[in-house]
Amino acid sequence: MESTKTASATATAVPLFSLRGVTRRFERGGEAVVALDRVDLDVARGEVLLVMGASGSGKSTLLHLLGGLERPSEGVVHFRPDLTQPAIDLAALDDERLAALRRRTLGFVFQEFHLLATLTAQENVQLPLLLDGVRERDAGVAAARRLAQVGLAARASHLPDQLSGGERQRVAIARALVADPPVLLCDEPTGALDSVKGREIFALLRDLAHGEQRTVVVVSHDPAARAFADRSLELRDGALG
Amino acid sequence: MRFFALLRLLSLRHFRRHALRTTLALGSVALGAGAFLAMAALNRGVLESFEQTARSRAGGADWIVQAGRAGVSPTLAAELRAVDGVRAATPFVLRPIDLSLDGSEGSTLHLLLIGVDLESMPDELLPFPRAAVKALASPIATLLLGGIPIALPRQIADGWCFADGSPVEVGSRLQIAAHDGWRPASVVALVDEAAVPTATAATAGMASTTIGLRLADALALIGRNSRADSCLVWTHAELPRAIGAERLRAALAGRAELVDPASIAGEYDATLGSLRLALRFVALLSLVIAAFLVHSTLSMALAERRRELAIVRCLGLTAARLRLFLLLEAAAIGAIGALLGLPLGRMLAGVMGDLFWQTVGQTFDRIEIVLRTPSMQESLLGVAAGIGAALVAVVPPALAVARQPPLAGLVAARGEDRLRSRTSRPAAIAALVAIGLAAALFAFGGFGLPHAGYLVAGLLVVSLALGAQPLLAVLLRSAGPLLLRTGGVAARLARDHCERAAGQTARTVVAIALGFGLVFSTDVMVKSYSRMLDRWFAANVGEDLLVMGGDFIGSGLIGTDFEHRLNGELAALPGVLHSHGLRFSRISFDGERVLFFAFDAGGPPEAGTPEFVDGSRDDERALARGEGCFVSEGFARRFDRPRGSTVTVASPDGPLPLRVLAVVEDYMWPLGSIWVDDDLYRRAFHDDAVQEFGLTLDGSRPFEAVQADVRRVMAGHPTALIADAASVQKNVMGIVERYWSLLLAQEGLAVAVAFLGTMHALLVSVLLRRREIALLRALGAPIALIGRMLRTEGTLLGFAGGVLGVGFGLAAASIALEMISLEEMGFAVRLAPAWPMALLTIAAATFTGWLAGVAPGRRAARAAPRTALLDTMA
Repeated sequence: MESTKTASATATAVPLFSLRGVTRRFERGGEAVVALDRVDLDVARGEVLLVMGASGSGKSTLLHLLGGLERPSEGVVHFRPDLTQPAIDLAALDDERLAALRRRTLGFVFQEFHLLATLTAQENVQLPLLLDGVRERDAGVAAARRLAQVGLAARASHLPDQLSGGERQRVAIARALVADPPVLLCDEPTGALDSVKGREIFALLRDLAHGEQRTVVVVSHDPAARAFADRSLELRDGALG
Repeated sequence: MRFFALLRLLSLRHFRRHALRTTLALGSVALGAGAFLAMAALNRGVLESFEQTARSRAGGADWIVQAGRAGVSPTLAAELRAVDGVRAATPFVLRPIDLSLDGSEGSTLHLLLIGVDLESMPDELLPFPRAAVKALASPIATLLLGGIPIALPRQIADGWCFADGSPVEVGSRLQIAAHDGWRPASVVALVDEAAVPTATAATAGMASTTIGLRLADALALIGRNSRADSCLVWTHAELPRAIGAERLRAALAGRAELVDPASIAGEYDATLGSLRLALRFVALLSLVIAAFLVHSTLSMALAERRRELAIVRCLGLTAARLRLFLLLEAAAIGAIGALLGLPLGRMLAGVMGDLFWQTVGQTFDRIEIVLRTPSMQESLLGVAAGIGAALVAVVPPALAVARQPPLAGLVAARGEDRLRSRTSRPAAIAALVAIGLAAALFAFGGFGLPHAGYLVAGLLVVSLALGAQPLLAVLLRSAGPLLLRTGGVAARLARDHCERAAGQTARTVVAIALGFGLVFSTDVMVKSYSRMLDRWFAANVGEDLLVMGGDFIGSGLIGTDFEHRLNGELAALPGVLHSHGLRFSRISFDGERVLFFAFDAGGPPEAGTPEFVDGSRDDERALARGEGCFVSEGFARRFDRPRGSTVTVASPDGPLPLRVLAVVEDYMWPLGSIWVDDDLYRRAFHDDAVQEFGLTLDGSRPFEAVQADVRRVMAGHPTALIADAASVQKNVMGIVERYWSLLLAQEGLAVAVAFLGTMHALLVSVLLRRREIALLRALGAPIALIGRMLRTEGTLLGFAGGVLGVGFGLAAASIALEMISLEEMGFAVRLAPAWPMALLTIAAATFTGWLAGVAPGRRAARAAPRTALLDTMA
C-alpha cells in the first residue's frame, strides 16, 4: 500500500484538490470529537483515489469537505477545476456558489443511495439538470443516456422501491454523472451491496473515470476496492497514516 | 418554467403519494377558510338586515326626531317644517300590531302599523300610493264603511279569506288590536308593493307586511295621548348634512333628540351585544386555530421531507431557492384549500344564517332578514387569507429547513437532537414571559391600555403555543412509570415517541387544546352569564306577577303600551301588596342608544331592591323623591358618569339634568341604563303609558286567584301577557341559551379542524416512524401492539390537549368575562365554571385523540416489516 501525506509525485503538477492542515471538530453529546486532524492531501486530475479506514475514522468527513458539504474547523481546502483560473477556497464560498459547484462540477454517490422515493429512475437522474435550469426535455435525453451507460435503460420508469440495491446505486451514479462533472465523490458506494454487486460498481466507477478523464474519490472500508483504485490512502482516527 | 417543472416533480409527486394527508391538510385550510367566509357573510347579512330594517323604520327620511318612549308632539312637525332647508316633516307612528278577521287568535296576523300625517306629505315621500292616501283620507269611505280605515298590502289580502270563503278586499271589515281591546277596521285600499313611491323605496321591503293608517287613527289605536312615536324629517338635497342637523337641533331646543337613521341599526346590533361580542371573540380564535393547524400540518410535512429536501440541497439547490420553493408550495396549498373552502363557506353561510335567524328571529320578529352568501370580495379575501395563513405558517419552518446545512437532513438523529435542544428552553422562557405579562395585565385591569382584553387573549394563545412543548416534556417524563404500569409496553412506546418528537406532539396538543378549550370556555361563559342573571333577577325582580305586552321581551324591551291608570285597579286587587308600572325607553346619549327606565322607586323591599355598586338604600329613597337618577355600572363606565355626576337627557320641556344618585348592577341593556322614579318620569315626559306592570303579592290569597283577578282587569287588552316572574325569567334565560347555541355550532367547526389536525399528526407520525415500527415488527411485536401504540399515542395527545384546553378555556372565559366584557359593555361577569363539564371536555378530547389514532394505527400495522425497512433506503 502506498501511503503519503503529500501529493503524489506521479500526479499532475497542479493538483485538483489541495488540503492543508485541515482539522474538523464536532460536538457530540456535549463532547468535542476530532473527525479529521491536521490533514494535508493533494488529489491529482483524472486519478481514482481510494480513502480507506475503519468506521468513524473520518473518511466521510473528508469527502464532505472535498464536496463543500462541510467546512473545516481549521486549515484550507483548495479546489482548482480550471487551470486558467486561480484555486478556489471552498470554505470561503457562499451557499449560492457552493450549490452551483455541486450542480456542475461535483457528482455525489452516497452509501444509502439517497434517491427520491417519489420519482422514477429517470426523473431522479435528471433532477440535477433541472436544478441547474436545463430544459426538461434536454434533461430527459441526458438522463436516458446516462441510464443506458450504467445499463439501466430498461428500468428508467421504475420507482426506487421497484429496483434492487445494485440498481439503485447505478441510478445514483447516473445521477452523479448526468451534469458531466469532472469530479465524482463516492461515499461507501458499495456499503449496502453484496460483494459481487460491489465489484461491478467499482469497475463501473473506474471505467467512468478513465474513459471520460474524470477524477474519482472513493471512501470505503471494502479491501476489494483497492484493485480498482490508482492510489489508496488510509485514515486512522482522523489522520492520514 | 423550469422551476415549475421542479415543483411538479417534487411537490406534486409528494402530495399524490400522500393523498390522504394532503387531503387532510387541504381540508384544514378549506374548513378554516370556509368558517372565515361564513362568518364574514353572516356578519354582513346581519348588519345589512339591521340597516335595511332601520332604513325602513325611518321611511327613507334624512332624520328622525325622538323623545324616548314618551314620543313627540305632532305640533313639533309643524315647527320643524318651518326650519330653513327642511323639505318635509311628519309625525310618525310605527308599531307592531295585530290584525284579525274576527278577533280570534287563529285568524290574527302580526303586522306593522304605519301612521303618518297624510296632508303634510308631498306625494313622492308618502309610504303608500296617492290613491291609497286619498281613500284613507276620504270622509265618505269612513262614513260608508265605518270603523278605522286601513290600507292593506295586496299580498296579505290575497292570502287571506273569511271563514265563509269570501275574500278580503276593499270594503271588508276586520278587527284591529288597540291598546284597550279589538276595534273594527275597514279596508279602504289595497296597496301594491310596486306602487310604493320611489323616494321612499326604503319602505318597499316592508310594504308586504305593513298596514297604513291616518295619523289620528294610529294615535288612537296606540293610546298615546296625541303623541307620535317620532317625527320624520326630510331636508333639501343641497343642504349640507351638518348644517341641517345644527338647525334642527336649535329648533328642538332639547325637547327631543335628533337621530341619524343609520344609528338605529346600531341599536338593533346593541341588543345582541354579548352575543356579537362572543361571536367576534370565537371567530378570532377559530381563525387562530385554523392558522395554527396550517402551521402544524406544513411544518410536520416539512419534518417528514427533511431527507428529501436535504438530498436536493446536496444536488445543488440553493437555500434561497429552497425557501422560494417551500413558500410557493405553501401558497399552492393555501390557494387550493381556500378555493375548496369557497363552496364550503357558501354552504356554511346558509346554514349559519338560518340558524342565526331561527335563534335571533325569535327575539327580533320585525327584522327584515337578509341572508348573504360570501361576496366576490369576501371570497377573494378568503382565498388571500388561506394563502396568507399558509405562507405565515410555513415561513418559520421553511426558514429553519433552508438554513440547515445540506447534510443535516441526511443525518436524522443528529438533526432531531439539535432541534429539540434548540426549541425547548427559549420557548419555555417566552411562554413564561407571555403568561406573566398576561397575568399582570389581567390583575391590573390592562394598565389602562385600550382593548387590553384582546391583547391578553392574544398573549394567552401565544403562551399556550410556546409553553405546550416544555410543559408536555415535564408531564411525559413524570408519566413514564405510571404509563408502563397501566398501559404496558404500547403505552410506554407511545410516551417515548411523544417525548422524542416533542415539537410535533406539542403542536397537535395545542390544536386539540384550542378546539376543546373554546367549547369549554363557551360553556363557562354561558353558565357565568346565567348565574349572573339569576342573581340579578333574584335581587331586582321581587314581583311575583308580571303583566306585559306579548312581544315585550321578544321585541327587545319595546312591546306595546298600557295606560298607567290601570295600575290603580291592579294595586287595589285583594292579595296584592304592591303594583307599579314600568316604562322602558331607548334614548340617545353621547351618540349611543341607552335604556331609560322608569319604575316606582318607593316600593316596598319585597318588590325588589337594586344591587348597589356605589350607593345605598338611602339613595333609593332619594330616587323615589325624584332627586335624580341611578345609572347602571356599564353606563357609568362607558360614559364616565360616576355617582355624584350629572346626566342630561332631552325631554318635551327641554333638557332635563339628573344627578347620579347611585351606580347599580343592571343587565337589561348592553349599552347601559338610566333609572328614574315613575312619578318624575310622568311629570317630566308627560307620558302616562307603561309597557309592564309588576305585582308583588302579600301571600294572603293563592297565586292563581290573584292571577285570575288580574286577567279580569286586563280583559280588554288582547296583547297582555300575564305570567309569573319565574316563567319570565325562564323565557329570558331561554333566549340567552339560544344565542349561545350559535357559538357552539361555530365551535363544532373548530373541533372538526382539531380532529383533522390530530389525525394528520398521527399519520405523519406513522410515516416518520416506519423504520421504528418495522423494527418492532421484525423483533416480533404483534400487529395489535402497533395499533394499540398509535391509539395510546392519540389518547395521550387527546388527554393532554383536553387538560390544557380546560385550563385555556377557563383563562379565555375569564378574559372574555372580566376584561373584554368590561371594556366593551362596562361590566364584568363573575366566573362560574362547571367542573363536571371540565371533566366531560377532557373525556371528549381523550376520546377524539383515541379515535384519531385508529386509522393511523391500522395503517401502521398493515406495513410489512421488510417493506418498511427497505423504504428508508430509497
